[in-house]
Amino acid sequence: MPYLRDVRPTKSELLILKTRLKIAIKSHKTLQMKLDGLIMEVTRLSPNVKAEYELLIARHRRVRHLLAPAYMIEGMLNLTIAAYSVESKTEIELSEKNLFGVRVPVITGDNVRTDLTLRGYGLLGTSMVIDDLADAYEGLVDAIIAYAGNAAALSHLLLEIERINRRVKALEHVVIPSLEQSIKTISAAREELEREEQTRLFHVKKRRR
Amino acid sequence: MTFNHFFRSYLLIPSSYRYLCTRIIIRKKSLITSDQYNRLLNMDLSEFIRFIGESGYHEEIHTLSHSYHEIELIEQALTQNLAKTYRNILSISPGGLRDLAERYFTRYDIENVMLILRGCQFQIPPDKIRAVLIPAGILDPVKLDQLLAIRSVTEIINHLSSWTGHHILSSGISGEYKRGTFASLENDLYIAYYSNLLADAKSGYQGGDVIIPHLRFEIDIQNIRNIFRLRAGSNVRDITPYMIPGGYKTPNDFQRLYGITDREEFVNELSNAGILALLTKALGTLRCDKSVCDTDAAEFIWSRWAAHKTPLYTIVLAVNTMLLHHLDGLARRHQFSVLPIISYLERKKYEVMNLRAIARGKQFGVNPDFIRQHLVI
Repeated sequence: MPYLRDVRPTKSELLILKTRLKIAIKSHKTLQMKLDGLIMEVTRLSPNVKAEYELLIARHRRVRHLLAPAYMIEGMLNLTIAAYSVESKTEIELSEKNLFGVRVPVITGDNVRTDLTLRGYGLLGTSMVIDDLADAYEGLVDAIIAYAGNAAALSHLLLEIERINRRVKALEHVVIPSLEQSIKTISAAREELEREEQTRLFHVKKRRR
Repeated sequence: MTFNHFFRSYLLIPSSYRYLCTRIIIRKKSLITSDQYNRLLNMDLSEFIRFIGESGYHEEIHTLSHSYHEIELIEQALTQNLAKTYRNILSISPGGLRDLAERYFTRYDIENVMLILRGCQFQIPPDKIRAVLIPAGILDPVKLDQLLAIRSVTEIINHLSSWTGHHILSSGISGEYKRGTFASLENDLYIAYYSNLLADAKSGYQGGDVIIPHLRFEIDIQNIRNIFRLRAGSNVRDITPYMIPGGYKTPNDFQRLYGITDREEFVNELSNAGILALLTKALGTLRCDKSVCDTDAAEFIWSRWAAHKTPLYTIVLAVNTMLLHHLDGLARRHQFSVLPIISYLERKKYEVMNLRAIARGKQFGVNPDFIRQHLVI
């Protein structure tokens, strides 16, 4: 389906189309630059996200590995008691930052890793498997926060890349060629009209003589 | 020992000791044996429930089977049975032995009281708190229910005026709650618990003089565990508030040990405290290797210390096994003293822990050899 239909071969239309072509070329250039920038940002971010994902999986595996011994040694009751004793609350802050015009989320955590003496449970009434499990869970929460922020930013950037790419491709393969074609058609039509007009004037002039 | 000497010492033993120790020795025989543990390791959860339902946990399994299922049923039945056993010991203990048993059970009171205080302070619903209370201490379920109904920390403390730890609680909480207060109170209560236990052991019980070295060594081990935990998970410099006094080594000795970064010095300290020899035995048992020597144990413990890591919990359990064997040995040598009583109470506690470990291991689908490493037999 052509981008432009029912274009009248007038001079004003030609001027409009030329302006539109100019804008389209400029937009294409700008969007192409934005796309390159976004791709560079994704290239920079994706190894980090991959490393964070691997760390998250490793920490999750550690937690699962420790969960069975913790339940075996302490039982559900003692683990629940230790959980009720915890006084430090993890706070998660959500904010946004601008990356090439894309608003990406920034997730940060506060009080994620706590000192053993500040966790809330007494040292003398608990065992070291509880420390290990608490430490493993804190590490997991830390990894989740780091991964969640960057993974969300990456997913936003990828969506934006897809959207911009579609626009760039549309400008490159549909809009600009269509405008160029229309300009060409109008120019040809106008030249034809001019020639016709010239010939008509020539014949009028000849008849008068 | 001549016959006369034996006869004289036998006559000197009060009848209360002979009565209670004989009952307890008989009860000890009914605890689950290592062969039975081996059979349990190869059972699935339903067979496991049937087995314990036909043994000493019959009543609890049948009472609770309508309210709980599978693993929760097992855990609740084990906890209630432990509480019932301890209460029963209290009811049959005469005179001074009852005081000692009460002192021993205070441990569970500390857990329960701290849990109720935390529930009140952090507004945890009483039902949730009630579900995890272990009424194995002196404070019976009725008293615990009364405490749960109170909605103010100060009132709870006032209500505990006759409890041994009341003065610690009342001096520890004043005004608005500050973060870490409960943890520090809990530590103080446990320090007082050990101190009272040692004082009681010195106050003329049969076998008290024998149990004291065992208790002091146990305190040293507990302190060693705690300095490993502090080194692994804390930046605190002064560790003396977390050390239990009364062991062979003072809190200041542990403070010095905490700062050691030299391998030789560290190993020498452990060796002098008698912990290295125990660790060697524990490591040998865990690895099923009799050729494990002090050097291996020193290498193992130093690697954990240098890396700021806690010792593996399986090693800690193996050390607990060694301590239990030592206590059993003492109890066999001093049959009519407090030792058989303490040995039975410890054995019972570990039986419940072992059964729970097997059941939880089955629930998580881990192999029997892995579960076996978590048993104190």
